[in-house]
Amino acid sequence: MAILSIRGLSKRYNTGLFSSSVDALKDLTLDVEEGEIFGFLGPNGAGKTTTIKILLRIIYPTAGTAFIIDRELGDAQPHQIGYMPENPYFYRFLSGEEFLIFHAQLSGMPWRDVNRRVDELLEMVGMQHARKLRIGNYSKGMVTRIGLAQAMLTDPPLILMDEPMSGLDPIGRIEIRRIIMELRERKKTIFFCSHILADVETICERVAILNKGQLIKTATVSEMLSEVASGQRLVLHQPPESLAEKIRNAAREAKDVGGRLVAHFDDKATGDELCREAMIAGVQVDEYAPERGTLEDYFIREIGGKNA
Amino acid sequence: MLRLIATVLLGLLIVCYVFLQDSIIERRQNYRTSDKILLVADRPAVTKALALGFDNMVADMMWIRGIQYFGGNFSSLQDNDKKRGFINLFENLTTLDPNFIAAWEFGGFVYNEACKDPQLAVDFLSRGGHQKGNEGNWKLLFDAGFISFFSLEQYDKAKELFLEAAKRPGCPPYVERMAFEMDYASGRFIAAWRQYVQYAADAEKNGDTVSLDIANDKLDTIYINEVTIHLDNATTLYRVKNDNKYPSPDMHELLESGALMEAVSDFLEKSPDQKSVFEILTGGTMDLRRLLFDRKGQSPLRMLVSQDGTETVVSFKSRAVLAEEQQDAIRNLQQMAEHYEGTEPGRPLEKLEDIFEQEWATNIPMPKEPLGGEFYWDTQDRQVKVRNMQW
Amino acid sequence: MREIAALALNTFREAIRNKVFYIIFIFALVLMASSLVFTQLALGEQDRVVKHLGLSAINIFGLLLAMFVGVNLVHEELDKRTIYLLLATGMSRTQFILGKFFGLFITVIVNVLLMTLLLFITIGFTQGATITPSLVYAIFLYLFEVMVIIAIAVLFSSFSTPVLSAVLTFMCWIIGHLAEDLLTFSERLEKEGSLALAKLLHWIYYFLPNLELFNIKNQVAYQESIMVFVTWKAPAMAILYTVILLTITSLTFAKRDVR
Repeated sequence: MAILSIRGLSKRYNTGLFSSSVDALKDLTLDVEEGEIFGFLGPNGAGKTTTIKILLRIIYPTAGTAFIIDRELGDAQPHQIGYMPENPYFYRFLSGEEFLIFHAQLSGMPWRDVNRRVDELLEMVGMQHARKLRIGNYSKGMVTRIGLAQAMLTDPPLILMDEPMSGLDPIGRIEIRRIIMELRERKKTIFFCSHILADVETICERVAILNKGQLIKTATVSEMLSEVASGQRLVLHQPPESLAEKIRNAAREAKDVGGRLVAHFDDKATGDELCREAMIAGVQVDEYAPERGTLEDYFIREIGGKNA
Repeated sequence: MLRLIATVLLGLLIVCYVFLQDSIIERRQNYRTSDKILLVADRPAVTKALALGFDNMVADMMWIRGIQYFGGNFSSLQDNDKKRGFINLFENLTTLDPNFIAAWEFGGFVYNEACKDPQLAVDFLSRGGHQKGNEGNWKLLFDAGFISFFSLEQYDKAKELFLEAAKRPGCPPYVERMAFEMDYASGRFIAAWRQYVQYAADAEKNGDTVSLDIANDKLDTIYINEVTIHLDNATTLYRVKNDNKYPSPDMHELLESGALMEAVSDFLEKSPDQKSVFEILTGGTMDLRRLLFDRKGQSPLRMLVSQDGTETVVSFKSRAVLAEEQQDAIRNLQQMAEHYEGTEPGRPLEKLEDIFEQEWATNIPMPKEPLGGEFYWDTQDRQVKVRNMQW
Repeated sequence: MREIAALALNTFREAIRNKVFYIIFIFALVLMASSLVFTQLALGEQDRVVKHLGLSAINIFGLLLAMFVGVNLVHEELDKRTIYLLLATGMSRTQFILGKFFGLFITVIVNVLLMTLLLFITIGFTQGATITPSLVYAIFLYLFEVMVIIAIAVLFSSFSTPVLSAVLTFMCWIIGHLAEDLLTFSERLEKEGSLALAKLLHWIYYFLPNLELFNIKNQVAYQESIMVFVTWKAPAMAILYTVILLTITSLTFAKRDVR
């Protein structure tokens, strides 16, 4: 059963009084299944945030609708959605704890549950130590973590995350990724918006690619990766010119990088042959390994052409 | 659905609101917030400082509100507190904007009429008139002069103010006349008379008939006022000699008994310098009959007389007017006589009195001959005529 | 209801932590300085002067607070996108508007009450000055004026920038204090026969808040009897006006895209 079904969603912004309008979203149709981590990919301005705003009823669609857990958008909705905003900008004057309590109250959580739940979440995102500190004094990573805690406050089945990793350092990313994985274990559905492909590739199961307001493709990550060309990659340390010449002719692509020759082969047999030749010639082989396609390649292939 | 409810609710609320506003407007009849303006700021210099350069605007605001106050309950303003309020208001207004003519003018009016303090009004108005920048305005000085004259009876001060006002641009000619009138009002009859005669002559020469009429009216009024004093004195004399009886409304008794002559001589004995007044009044003849009957003016002379036991003020008219009235009466009587003979043919009218015994004329009194003679019916000519003509 | 209360309290807390209440210290300084100076200068008129100054200061500071915090309220939530989170919790637009309104109203009430307390203390220390019922009533009425101002500020703030909202709110405040003149003018016009114009002005008056209804500062200072002014109509007017404004605000705000 799809926990989130988007049907023909469109949004047109009238940019000014007389200027023409802009289509931020064109006829988006999409299903997110329960329990999956769904990547919503696209460059800046593709319409990711617009979609999320419509789902949160911050803005209203020009056409189309969406169903969240079988409830149509525009129903008086209870709190089924957790939301983790892009560049979280919370009330700076509140402490992390106050912020969570405030949101618990807004969500209509019974008083007796509030403190327990807040403790639980602070524990989960590892923010126990900073609970009394004002959000204005938090680091970027702390803000993101408190934002996640807020999104999970009412234990919603669906959580929308808008660029949760942006601006984080590697440790922060790992931490967030850990929390998301934990959520998946609890069978939460996560709608993960990002333009950072590496994150999506490692976290998501299924991905939708959006560009200029239009859905380009929906598929599982592995499907996409298999579509990207793969081959062999050979890196040699200062090969003799004759060998280098031979490799250049045979390879799909080859270039000199700081005294090293990096070559890509489409055909594994050719790669094997040339690698063996190099070893026989006593040239130092720094690397020889099968080459795996990345989502980035796929993304650039899909969008790059269309943007040009 | 929710939206619909909200909109309906909004409509209901607006209806309630309109009703409430209505009732608040009604309540205003008893109490006006604009009253408060009169209690604020009793230090004009401070007000000016606080106006932060928006002096004129603040003055305008105060003005608008102050005016509303007078429009609303002018009559209820007597007590001292209110007077203090007015002084605050007008001092503030004129300090904020010294060239606010209307404020000066209205302030003078309020001090005089509402506060019953004419001296305050005159001081305020002449201060306004002499304010730098108000040199082009004659009205303030005129108002000050008028209050000096009318309420304070300070004729010298009034004349001074009128003359000053008359020099200012746009001042209508009557202001200068008012200055002359001050001479008269202060007892300087001759000065006023001559000024007006001069004024009339000028007007005649310039072909200004309006000014000429006004001047003649003024001369007439001065004349009447002057003569009335002597008529009153003569009446008193007459009553002393005649068992407290009033003289008849025509003036012959006064003249014939010599009472008028006596009164005038007494007066001239006490103040011989006033002889020239009578020379002027009688056209140089000193014949007091001319004083009473040979005037050009149309306004009546007045004096207190007895008529059927009650005291009334009776007007005396100039000979020209009386002659006209005589002719009117003759015309009326002639018509009545013809009607008398017409209603019953073959019945000739014997005497005028017979007409007034007729049913249709019993309520009409027999008219008196205005010049002191009597009407009679000339059976020969079948005409109403006058006999015993004294003049 | 609970959501509104939570948001209102949060708004109040924000105001406190934004050091809005420093206004009170300025107020206290003004009051103390003035009472010190005027006790020396205003021979025998200390009572009047202290009350005048105190009430005026409460008025001005209250207005400033209502206006400048009010116009920033909604805008700040939009600007910092904190409203996304609020709406994501399922809060309705109406609840949001009401929460913001009450939050600010509480802030101003607390502020005014503190200033009143300071004024009372000052009066207590001033020779010849007494706390009168009219003084208390004047402050009570003033709260209603502030209520209307806040509703106006929230309305403007929900669709325009803070600067524009501040200007518009301030203009409403001025016009509100002149509304009475408009009515008088309309009555005058009616007498002179300009019926159409009179009617128009009359209708314009209906849609303006007559803020003079809540202003009895001068009467207090002159110790006039306040019974003339004690009526349920002025507070009722303020409440109705506020409810109408808030309804309009939430109706228009509900339709809007928040950006």
